[in-house]
Amino acid sequence: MKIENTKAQMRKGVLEYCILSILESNEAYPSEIIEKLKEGKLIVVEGTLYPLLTRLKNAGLLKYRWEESKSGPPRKYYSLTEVGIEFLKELENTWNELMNAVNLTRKKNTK
Amino acid sequence: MNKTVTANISGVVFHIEADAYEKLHQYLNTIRNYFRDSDGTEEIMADIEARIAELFKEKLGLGRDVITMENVKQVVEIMGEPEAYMDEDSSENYSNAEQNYSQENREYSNSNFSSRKLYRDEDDNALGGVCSGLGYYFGIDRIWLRIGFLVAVFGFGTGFFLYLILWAIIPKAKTTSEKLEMKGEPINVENIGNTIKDEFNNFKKKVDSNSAQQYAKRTESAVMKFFIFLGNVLKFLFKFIGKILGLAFLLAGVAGIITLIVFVLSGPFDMTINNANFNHFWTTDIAQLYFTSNSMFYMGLVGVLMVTIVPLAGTLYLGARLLMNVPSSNRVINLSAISLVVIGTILISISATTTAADYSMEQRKTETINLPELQSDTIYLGSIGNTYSAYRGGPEDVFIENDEIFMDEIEVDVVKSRSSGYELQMRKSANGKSRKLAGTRAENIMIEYSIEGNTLDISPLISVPFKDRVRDQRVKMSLGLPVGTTVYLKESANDVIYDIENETNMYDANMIGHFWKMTEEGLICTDCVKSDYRRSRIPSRLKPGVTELRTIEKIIGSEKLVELINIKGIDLSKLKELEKLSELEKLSELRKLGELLEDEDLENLELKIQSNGSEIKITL
Repeated sequence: MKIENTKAQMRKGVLEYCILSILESNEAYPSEIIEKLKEGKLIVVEGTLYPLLTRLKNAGLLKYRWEESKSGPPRKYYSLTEVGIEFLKELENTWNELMNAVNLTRKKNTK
Repeated sequence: MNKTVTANISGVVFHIEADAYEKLHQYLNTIRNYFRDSDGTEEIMADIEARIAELFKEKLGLGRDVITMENVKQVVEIMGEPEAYMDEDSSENYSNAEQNYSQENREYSNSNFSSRKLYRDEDDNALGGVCSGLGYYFGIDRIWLRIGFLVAVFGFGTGFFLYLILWAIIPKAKTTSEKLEMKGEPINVENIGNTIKDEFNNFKKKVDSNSAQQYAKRTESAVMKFFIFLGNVLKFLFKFIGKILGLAFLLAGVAGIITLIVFVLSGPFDMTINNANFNHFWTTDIAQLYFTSNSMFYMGLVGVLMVTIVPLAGTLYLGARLLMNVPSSNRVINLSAISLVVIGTILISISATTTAADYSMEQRKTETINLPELQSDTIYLGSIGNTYSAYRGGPEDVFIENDEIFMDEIEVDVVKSRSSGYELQMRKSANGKSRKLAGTRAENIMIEYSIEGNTLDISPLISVPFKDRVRDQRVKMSLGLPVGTTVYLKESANDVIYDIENETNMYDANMIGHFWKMTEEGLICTDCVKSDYRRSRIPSRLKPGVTELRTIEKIIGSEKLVELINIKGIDLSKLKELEKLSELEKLSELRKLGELLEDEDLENLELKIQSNGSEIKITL
């Protein structure tokens, strides 16, 4: 079992939650999302984001609108759908539960 | 200087350097393959392309108009290598896809052979790419297959036809995946990418014809210059050798065609036999005699011309091309050359098969004639006609006279008669397309012989009607002698006798001029002296064998033989009781004796016997 694999799996698990979180407050186009994810070192390269966005959109969690750009082709601005907002709430709850669980487990172990 | 390619990426036009384009193209293809099993591949790809276009836009501006390799590398770094997509992706779909992908890979590497498909490789062809394709299929270097086909062309043109058939039935590898299937490589992104890359490179090479010079300008290194100089020297040398070869080919081609024309017009044979003139062999009836009809003969001749003219003209043309700037062959010339060979071969086959069919069946007819005219105990055997000396086994021995074909296909043997008098047995045989026809032809064979007093003369020539043509007609004749009679072989008999069995294993030519007596065991020479045997098979072995000693025994009797042995002082006690020994033991003892006696000893033996005053003349 490689540490890299485990790390990648953990990152993958929270990646979707993070994307939805970024889009909770305001809409964004992929490059902006990438910037924020990169800050958190959640992803390294941009390419991996696009399939994720498409999947979330196909699942009905995201929608997008086109906007002209001065520097190149038109951009897709993504935002949450109603379902997406519901989904995010669910995820937030789950995340908190998980955090608690992890913290509890770790405290017990350190005692 | 670099070539650029114009590309439309997400609706924006970019000028990209050729090698950079290639890299980008490969990159996008690889990614597309990773997503091939998922929904919305096109959408993902469109998004990625849009982002790439955006990134390129950022790189450009400020007087820079062209996307370079460097730009593409940067973009790939930002977007991530294809492996990263795989790594980061959590979807079941994708991991399944990956599994399938690697499984496929494994299958390919396990059973490379079975996964190969037979296609013609027109990227690497000499003619139709058949050998190249077969080479991939069987994993053999195509050069061996080409050599094989070339060799087979000379085996009745088999290689040629086989090639044409294969050319017709094997499909050409058109698409990239077919090309990969042909080479037995797994159809995956990298390989498709590589193939496309190869094609692109080939294309590039074709486009800039003097790329080497361009390259030299760019690198400008001394080493490069040296190699280019070396290359030029080699090029000049090759050109020089090419010119010489060209001249040789040209001359060979011209010589070949002239020979062919001379061959057709006058025929290669210039000979006169028995006053028959063969100067125009092909145009005489002689050659036609072997074919079923004149038209078949001419059909075969035309076929041979058609087939032989093509390689000759090809050689001529090749020489001309090497020597000067003759335009390269076009489709019309190639097609007409091929059709000439094909039609020629068909003509030859028709002519040959119809002719061969008329040789397919053999029939024999045997008749025995009693010769009551011969009364004497001794007869003389010879042949009619003293001008003719037989050449055995060549087409020269055939000639036509008065609508009859004459040939020297007779063999005379001397055997023991099955009746009480002399007899002549004749076995005539001929070939035809049916047994009936062959039988008729055999019956048509005429044999000439004459009996005068006690002399039998047989003609060395048999004759058949012209309409029967030459169909392997031959006669085996056996002169039957009753036991106790003698035949004398006259000098002229040399023209007719063939392999006469005799008790001393003497050759035909040595039997001439001697009297031969028929005994229960076979023919024995009654007037041969030692020197005659010397010319027969005995001296070649130097030691007399069983047969020879048996002959001695027959002539001088066992008693005398034992006596001989005693004089010689050879202690072979068993031989003293030769009479009592069985035939087999006697033979084995005599064999031992034969091995002991050297040639010189035999000579001494003869002298000793004669000085003893023996009446018996021994011939050893």
